[in-house]
Amino acid sequence: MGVLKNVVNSVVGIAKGHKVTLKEMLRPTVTVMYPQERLDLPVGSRGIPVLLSDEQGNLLCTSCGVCERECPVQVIHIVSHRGEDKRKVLDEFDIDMSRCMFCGICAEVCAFGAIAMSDQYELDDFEQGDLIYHKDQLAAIGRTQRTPITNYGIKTEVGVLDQVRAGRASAAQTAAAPATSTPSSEGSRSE
Amino acid sequence: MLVDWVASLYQSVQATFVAHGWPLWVLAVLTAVLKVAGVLVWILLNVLFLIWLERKISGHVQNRPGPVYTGRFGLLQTLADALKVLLKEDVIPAGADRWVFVLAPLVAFVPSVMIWVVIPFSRGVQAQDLNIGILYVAALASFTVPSLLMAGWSSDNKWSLMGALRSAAQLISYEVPLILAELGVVVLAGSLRLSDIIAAQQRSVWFLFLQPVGFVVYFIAALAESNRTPFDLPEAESELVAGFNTEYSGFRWSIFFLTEYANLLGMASLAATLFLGGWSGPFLPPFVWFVIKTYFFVFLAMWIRWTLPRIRVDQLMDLGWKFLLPVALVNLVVTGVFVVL
Amino acid sequence: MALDTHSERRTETLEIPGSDLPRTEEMMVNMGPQHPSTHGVLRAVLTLDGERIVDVDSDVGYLHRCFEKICEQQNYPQIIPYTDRTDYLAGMTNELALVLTVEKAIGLEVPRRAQYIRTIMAELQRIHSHLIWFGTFALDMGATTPFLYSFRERETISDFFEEITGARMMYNYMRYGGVRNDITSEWVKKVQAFLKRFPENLQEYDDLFTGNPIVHARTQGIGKISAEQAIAYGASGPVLRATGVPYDIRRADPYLVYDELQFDIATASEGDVWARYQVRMQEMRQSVRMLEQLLAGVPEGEIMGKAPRIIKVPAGHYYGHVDSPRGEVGCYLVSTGERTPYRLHWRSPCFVHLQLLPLMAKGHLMADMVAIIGSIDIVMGEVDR
Repeated sequence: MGVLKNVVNSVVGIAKGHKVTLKEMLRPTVTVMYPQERLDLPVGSRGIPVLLSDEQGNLLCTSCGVCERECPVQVIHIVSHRGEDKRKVLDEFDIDMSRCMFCGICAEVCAFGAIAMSDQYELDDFEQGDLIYHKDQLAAIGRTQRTPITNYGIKTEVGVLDQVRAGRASAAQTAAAPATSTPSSEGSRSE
Repeated sequence: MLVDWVASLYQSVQATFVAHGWPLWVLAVLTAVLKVAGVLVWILLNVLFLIWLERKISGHVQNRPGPVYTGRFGLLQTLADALKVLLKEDVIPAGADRWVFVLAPLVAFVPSVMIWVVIPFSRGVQAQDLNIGILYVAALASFTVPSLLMAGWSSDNKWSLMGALRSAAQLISYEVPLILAELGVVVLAGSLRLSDIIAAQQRSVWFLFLQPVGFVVYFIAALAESNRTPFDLPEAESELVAGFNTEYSGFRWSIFFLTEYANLLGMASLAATLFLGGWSGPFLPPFVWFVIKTYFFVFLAMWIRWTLPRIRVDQLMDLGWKFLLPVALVNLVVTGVFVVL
Repeated sequence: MALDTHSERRTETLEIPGSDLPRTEEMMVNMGPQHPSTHGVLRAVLTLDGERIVDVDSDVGYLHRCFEKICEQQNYPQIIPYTDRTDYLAGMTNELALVLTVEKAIGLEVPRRAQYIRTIMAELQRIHSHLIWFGTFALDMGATTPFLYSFRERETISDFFEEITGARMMYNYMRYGGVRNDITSEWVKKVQAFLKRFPENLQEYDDLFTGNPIVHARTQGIGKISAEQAIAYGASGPVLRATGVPYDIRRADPYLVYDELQFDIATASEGDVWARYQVRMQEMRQSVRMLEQLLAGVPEGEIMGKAPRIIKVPAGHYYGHVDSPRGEVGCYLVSTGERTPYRLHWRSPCFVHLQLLPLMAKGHLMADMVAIIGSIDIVMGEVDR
């Protein structure tokens, strides 16, 4: 009788599993069809770090360099000089997004609230060098800020990253056109 | 009806042949070619659909939609995949036994098509109504073993070899209960001919009700024969990488894939014929009944595949020899006694 | 307990299952580093007799990223995001191990609200991690569907993490003296709603997988180790608890607010794959129980204590440990009083458990090897660090 009981138990166990799969089969799917549909990310969700500006469009960054020092992977590159009023003027602010690990420490340590984590995350590009984002690009994304800074993050306009990237491409072409001596791969970086 | 029209067409063509004194063997060859073409088209169309169906069912079981982009409801997905697979580079591993490696997919595919010679699609629509129909099917089913052994051995890969040896052990052990379960039906019908078995079911009831134990044994053994989860040990992805077809890619791999689904379809249609009365049924045309019953088994097999985990190789042997075989034997004896009385 | 593990091992190999069967020629097979079920890049060199495993030699290091060496050049806040990347399926508990060690070293007070939030995150992380384990374990056994179901629930928890920490896997959430962001009452309600329906999902997994006779047949009596062996090899977490030893750091050396919580230490006595399976399934239920208590009583207050702006750990040796979903994660810190550690050693439970692999697998079949690897729940990122 032990065998029979075993068989009955097995059949019941297997039948239960089939009940579950049948039930789930009839349920609506949970898939989000990604490129067509996008989830609404919560504010503070960490995409690429961007530079914020005040109402006049001037960068809040004071070139103090704390973010550069505190970045665990050292991907931030800042160049500045002393202006006429002895204040630092930001010349270059590059972030190498190919090495950035989106930890958000730069936004956290910034005493002026000049860096925030945006909700832009689609970083595909054709050239490795294009993954280094420059001051103007970071500022352009930061200017489309839609929400106040929450959890060191902001929301930006949908698709702004693509626009910025398209802008860079055309700018690179116009820059490369007169100066034919510079190699084209460097053209986009040196502007 | 279409069947009658085809029959009358055949008779008139035959009459023309006789009238003109043309040799009749030409006609025989011609009809044979047409039948083969018909069966091939039937299998290929069905396999295209089956692969799509499998992906849809697996998708919905797992709360995801399955293929959606290619064609309406992703119906053309298989076609697109087939095209992709055909365009791939034909890779034969350096250490492979070339000829055996090339032949293995064909040895697997041909028997899976040949089974369809005896499957009755509808009243009188059957390529050849052999008087040893079941024996023929059983003989063809054993061809899977050499093909998988060939594939595994010739690949010169340890995973492939293990998959091949597993398949040999598995298929041989499940052949026996499979045939014993079929024999129960044969005893009841008193014939090995598939059309006689359907006729016998029309006289009484579906053999599913007379042979419930035989049906269960048949179904389990048939799942094992067609290498489907929970008995997919020869290719066992999480254990043997891809088992016997680890080294196969592109077109050759696609033939193995095709064979798998052709076998599934063959198994399902045979189950429909043996246990659910084949094409017979009220109201609807016989062919539609045949398709419905076949697809019922196909669905069952897919449902099982996406629910159960894989069984282990020694447990598979235990199940085959220590459980299914005795049960099938007892079933056969009981059926025999019942028929004699 | 015997300290001489080698002699222990030798006596154990005498009673491997199947050793009375006839032998054939042995075959060496490389399982991994590219294999569907070695959970990343584990390479196990198997010596097989037919399908039976005669010997296992696990080869690690394919995912080595110099974590410990990198830490020697980073200041303390910079180390936190790196800890996420050791055991990438349980970032929260890794961060906790580091943060608790440093806090202990410099004597930082952590506000109660922050402690509660940390405990909530750690327990959510446990469910999060065990769900992946459940899915991949089922996948190893050949059942694909449970994987998708467990990921469905895991997504919800990932969403919870993302809302508060900003990331779904690499949280960088714990801080010396508190946590990065505060939780909101809406978030708490959402998590409570999830916890209400999660037991139903667990029941679904049980119906689909736990109750399946094939699963019983493939897990019971497979990969057995005794409590003595587990202790001798330094096993911890579910692997140790499955041998019947009720050792849980949350009870044995309570940190955060675990001493205020009602929970049972999930144990099983057999020490086989099935026992480890049951312990983890039970732990998910216990985590739900803990989370319900925690969420009901989150105190108001600060989330950051009075941490110094520049963190310097006084010279000395420090050890801190937490019970991660995989076992005891330990952080051994040697400081010379600088802004960076002199040496940071990471005790990884997966690395320790991998030593048990030959002991568990010998004499079983190839197919069991997959189940055993699945049952010890290794994350190669943590093994290699």
